[in-house]
Amino acid sequence: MKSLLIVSQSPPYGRSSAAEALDTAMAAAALEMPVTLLFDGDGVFQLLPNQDGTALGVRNHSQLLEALPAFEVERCFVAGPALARRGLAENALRLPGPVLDAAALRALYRDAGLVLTY
Amino acid sequence: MRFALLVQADPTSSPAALSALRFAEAAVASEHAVSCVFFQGDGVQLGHAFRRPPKDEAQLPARWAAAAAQGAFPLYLCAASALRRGVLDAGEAMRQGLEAASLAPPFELAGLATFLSEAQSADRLLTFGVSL
Repeated sequence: MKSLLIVSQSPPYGRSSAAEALDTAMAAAALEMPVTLLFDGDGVFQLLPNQDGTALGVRNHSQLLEALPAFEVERCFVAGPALARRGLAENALRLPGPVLDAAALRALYRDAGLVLTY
Repeated sequence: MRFALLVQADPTSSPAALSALRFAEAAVASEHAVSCVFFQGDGVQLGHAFRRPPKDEAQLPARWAAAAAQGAFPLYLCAASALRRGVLDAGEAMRQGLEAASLAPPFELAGLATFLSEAQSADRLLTFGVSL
């Protein structure tokens, strides 16, 4: 079975991509496919604490993120270069997994069977 | 090579919707193949039967139908995304108490499980739609 790399590179609010990435990751895990979730680009804004989606009339995205382990999406990574470019410190975020440098990111893409980008 | 395509692009406002179609047409015309196409998010609006784009613009649904028939691959609309956007097949319309279906065949509703399972037979998966 091919491994899936789901790249979540959209911000948590303003469009539905971030939620769709999580839906897809959870569906893949339910099918017992090897799945990895990577937060890259503006997707790292999903990891900011103290989110409140109520003003936008949508679900609080961080609650969805916290449900990932319950749905057995356990392999999560964060792109270090994306944090650096946005001036985000690791200790200011709720990290779902290790922060990877550029070399580790290249290896992640190289080893992935199929890549889905959201 | 077999390609699975994930299309998130809004057919009305994103050029990536046309790029996906042109990729599929080129794959079918070559030695390559398309295993399945999954429209998710705003991409599902392509399967709405009531869309009426101007006649002098690219007629995406008809071209998708032709490519899918020639390449013998399914055109799946993410069922959850489609429900949110009012794209319902006859069965779903009946379940919701609506008078008419709004899904244009040969597009069909499917879940993520169907797409992910069929994508396993692909050599590559390409995503069309997230603009940065």
